[in-house]
Amino acid sequence: MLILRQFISRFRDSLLLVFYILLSSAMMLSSDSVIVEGLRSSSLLSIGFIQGTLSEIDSYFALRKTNRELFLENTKLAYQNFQMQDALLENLRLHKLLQFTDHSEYHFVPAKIIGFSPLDFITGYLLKFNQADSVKKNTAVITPDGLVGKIIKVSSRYAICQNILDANSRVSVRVQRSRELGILTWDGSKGLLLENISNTIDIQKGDVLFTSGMSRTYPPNIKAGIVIAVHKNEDALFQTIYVKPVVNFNKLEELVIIQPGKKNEI
Amino acid sequence: MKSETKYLVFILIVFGGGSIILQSLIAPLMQIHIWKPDFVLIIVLLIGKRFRSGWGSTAGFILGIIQDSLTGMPVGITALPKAIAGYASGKTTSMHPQGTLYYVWFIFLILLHEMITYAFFQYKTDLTYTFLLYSRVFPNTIYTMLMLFIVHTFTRKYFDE
Repeated sequence: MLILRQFISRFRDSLLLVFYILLSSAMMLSSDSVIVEGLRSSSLLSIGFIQGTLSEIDSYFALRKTNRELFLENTKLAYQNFQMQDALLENLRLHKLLQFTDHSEYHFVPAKIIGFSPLDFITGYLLKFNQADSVKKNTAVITPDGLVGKIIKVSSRYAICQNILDANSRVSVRVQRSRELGILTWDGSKGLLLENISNTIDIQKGDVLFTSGMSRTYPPNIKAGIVIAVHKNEDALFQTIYVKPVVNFNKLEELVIIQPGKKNEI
Repeated sequence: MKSETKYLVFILIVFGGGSIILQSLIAPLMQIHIWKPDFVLIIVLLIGKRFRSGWGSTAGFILGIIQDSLTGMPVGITALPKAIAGYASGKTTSMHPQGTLYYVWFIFLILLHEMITYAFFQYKTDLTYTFLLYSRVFPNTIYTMLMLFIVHTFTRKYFDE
């Protein structure tokens, strides 16, 4: 017993390190367990609260600039609205004529970015929204420009959004011109790759990609990227297609989370 | 509670918690291409330097767990290398390196931390480890080292004995 005590006392720091290594490994292997999920939720709540408060202070000082920008945006949208009223009426008449029904059943939840992922190799955001528990995991996040990513963790009024530039992100997309299906992944830098497109398919620079609706996470027809370069590899089965995201990830402030199941109230 | 332990708790809350907030709010603004400094690692190394290996590994583990909890990655993926870095930083102090030699050790520890982190990370992506080494590990090491030098200059009175 004395020898054991002496051993522990002598190698206390090293034993502590071994304990932490084992504990970290166990946590990595049981990432979806209740304890780990609880840990995630409480960290997200507390850090989200602090960052939300800090971000509100920052927003207060930026109010004048935001107001000016919103006024300009509002005027521009009002002008576009006048022009679109005619098109809407025509659209309604044609819908009626062709007996189309509206299948859009989504609820849009506005959210604000209050922080970024604290890990350098994870690309994502910490979001805050007004209604607690109004957002579900694995739902799409968009801006007026297009697809941003998906929600991977929710805790009350805070959520973690993984954007499409994350190494773990995979988005099923369709090429608008050819209707070809592919998978959008991160290219290892600041762009995207369109994968699983065979060498025989005609893909051109400038082709626009939309979500295909094949997955339960992303609703169809959300703009995701534009093809910027195509390389056909004679030795490989698939082409290497470089895609530029349509969203400028450096300028994001407000996002919209798409929740399925409810009628759009906007 | 001993005064040294009280001081550690103070450092953990103020500098540890602050580094996580800083990493989440300020580090993205300091991003060059895809490289960002790791402020949490900097604080872990400085805590290890000031409070020795036991507390260094504890600080690394706790801060790493909090950092992991705020991402979609498995919890523990950075807690493990940070615990090792904190422990190694404490052990380095017991060898009493002086001046520049201290910073040389820190470069080695940051590099070790990044190499372990990306060794885990490569399993979550299709990228090769060699690509990650030159595109992420080496630039991040240099950037974090520069930031460590700056942070240490301004916080010397809190972390030097």
